[in-house]
Amino acid sequence: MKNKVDLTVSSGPHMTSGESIERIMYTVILALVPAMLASIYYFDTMAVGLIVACSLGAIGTEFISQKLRGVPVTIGDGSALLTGILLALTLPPTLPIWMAVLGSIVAIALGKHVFGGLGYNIFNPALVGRAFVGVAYTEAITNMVPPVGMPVILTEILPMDGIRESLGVVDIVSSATPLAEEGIGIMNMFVGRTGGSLGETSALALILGGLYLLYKGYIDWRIPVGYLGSVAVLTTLLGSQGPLFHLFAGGLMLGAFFMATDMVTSPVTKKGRWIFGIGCGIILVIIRLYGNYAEGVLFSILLMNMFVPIIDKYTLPRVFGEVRANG
Amino acid sequence: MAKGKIEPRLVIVLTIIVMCSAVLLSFVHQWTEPIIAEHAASADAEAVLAVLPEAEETEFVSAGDLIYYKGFDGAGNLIGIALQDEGRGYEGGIRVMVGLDMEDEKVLGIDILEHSETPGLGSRITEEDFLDQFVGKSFSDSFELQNDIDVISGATASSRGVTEAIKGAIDKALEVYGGGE
Amino acid sequence: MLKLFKDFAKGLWKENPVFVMLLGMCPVLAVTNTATTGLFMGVATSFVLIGAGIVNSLLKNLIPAEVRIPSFIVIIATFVTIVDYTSRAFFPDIAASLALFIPLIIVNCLILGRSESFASKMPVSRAIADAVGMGVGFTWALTFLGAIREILGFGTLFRGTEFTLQVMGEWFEPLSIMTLPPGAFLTLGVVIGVFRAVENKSLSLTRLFGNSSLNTAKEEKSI
Repeated sequence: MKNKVDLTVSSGPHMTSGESIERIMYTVILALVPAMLASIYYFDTMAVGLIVACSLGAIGTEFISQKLRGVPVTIGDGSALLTGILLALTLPPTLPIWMAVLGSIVAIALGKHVFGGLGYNIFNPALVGRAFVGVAYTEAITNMVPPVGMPVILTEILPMDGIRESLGVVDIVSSATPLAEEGIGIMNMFVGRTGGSLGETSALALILGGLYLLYKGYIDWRIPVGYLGSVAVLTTLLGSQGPLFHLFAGGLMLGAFFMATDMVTSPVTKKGRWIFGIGCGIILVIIRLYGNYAEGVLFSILLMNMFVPIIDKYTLPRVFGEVRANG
Repeated sequence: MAKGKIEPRLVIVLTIIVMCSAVLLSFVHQWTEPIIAEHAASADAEAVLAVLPEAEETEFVSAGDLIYYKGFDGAGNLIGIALQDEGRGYEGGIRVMVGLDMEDEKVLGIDILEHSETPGLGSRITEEDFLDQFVGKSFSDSFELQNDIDVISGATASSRGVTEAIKGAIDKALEVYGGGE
Repeated sequence: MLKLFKDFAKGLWKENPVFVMLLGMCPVLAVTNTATTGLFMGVATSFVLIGAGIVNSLLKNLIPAEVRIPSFIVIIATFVTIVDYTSRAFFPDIAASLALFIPLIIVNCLILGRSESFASKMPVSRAIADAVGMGVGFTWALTFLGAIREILGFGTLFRGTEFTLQVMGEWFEPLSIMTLPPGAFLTLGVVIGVFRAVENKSLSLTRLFGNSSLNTAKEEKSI
């Protein structure tokens, strides 16, 4: 009956940037390729299975959700694919495939379409899915953080030498491992020879992708700099393991470059982005150093996502000539 | 109604309502109290028998501030004593019933009475795999996490809470039995 | 008679205390981790609701307006304490799992709300019809939420009773999130969302299989 016509009404000047959702999404996916390759290199078919399962799960859910809601189906724009890949990168390689698919369904259905679809979601969908799986199947998902002295399935399955030794490094809770003090531990973590979830392993691959996105201008440097910077400063002051360990441990690189920078769920103002990034860093350090959870990237970003509307509200520059209401 | 003046009718009506309520509740209380007390006693007795596997009869003992149970076998020989203690877990207190053999100075059995730990993580303290490691432990063991006690993956605080409670129970028991009865 | 039926029926769906009026959210979120606790909580609340409704309706002309609220609270508290004692005496296991939430029925705004806005102004017969309707509405809502959470979180129905049903097979891995507080929020949100969406037809299964033309009715309404 009525064709969808996009009529944007706004004040001038107008400029088209030539960017589209598709282009941005696929560029981000391209930037994730090194991290995906690294995860496949380290975890072999387990990584391939998780990435494929999450992507298909996310796209399928997007299709069904959009059909049910009666809105145009846009599974080709890459946003669901990106959510699926990001979700897969936050999961441990030993996670059963069906749990990963469940996570991708929750990510798209409850993380995105409940709020009204792309652009309306408050939280990063991939992290919503990860949080759901994390709380639902705590045991399966904490497999990636095997504490010292407990039998670990991981060490038997994984062929990689070096994983066994460096596994303890990831266990932040028990923090009994002095490995981090040695240079070799940090180096392993940097290139990715540590246990952990798919995308947590190789900081190098993630930084490569992140730099590419910075170069393309799709992400704002203020968020990763604020995030990583505050983590570095705070862990230098408070932590026992030093800033390098905390920067390369866990999913911080993935979170800082690919998740905190999500256009929909991060502030629009420059000042707001600083606040957002630094806020994430502070929450992360609190969780890692004083909380019971080993990893704080997930909750630091989700918690700051909630503050985005209020951050935007108070950091939006006043319109020229506008008078402060109670000034 | 004038300011600062309270009509007597208000007081009377409210007083009557409260009195009726009190009378009614005292009847209900009288009726249910013995039944509730019975439930509590049988729940305790069950827990005592669970931590003193060989005991058939239990006896309630109150020595000073300490309340504990003695467990006897069929022939009336003292098997051990059972008492409660609490440790601090991740979410809150963990109440543990501990069965102790005071002669051989070792732990006979453990039962978690109450906890509020995270399901799937801390709640695994109730699993036999975890609890069985305490059975047969001597009082003189160090009870040190990681060295002496296997910690549940990702639930250090919960594991510590249980260990603390057991150590606390042993200390209390030794206080009573220390000087000889 | 029709009037009485209307008073009763509105609590079931149209003015359902949980899904429509969002009253008494504390027990709704806190004690619906199994169908058993949900049902028990619903029945306990209904008892207080009906008892307080009858008494408050009977006394409506005796209680001066100035002490109306204190009187209501005392009456409600009396019924709650009766429920507390009897449940601890006759259903010790369920009472233990509900713990503090039985005494907390006192502050359930559904009960004071119905006493204040309905029972204290209506004849006893209508107050009873209203209280029973609200009670049944509250109970089925809690049991329904509890059932969803229990099936997903434990794989059973009515666990802790003699009627425990094993709903899910061996293959099922319980989702522990559903038994935790987040599960309560997720379930309540999704259930209310689906009910509303089905009611205003903004969500439709037929669309999944039919052609994907836009829902014009909704589009126009939203503009």
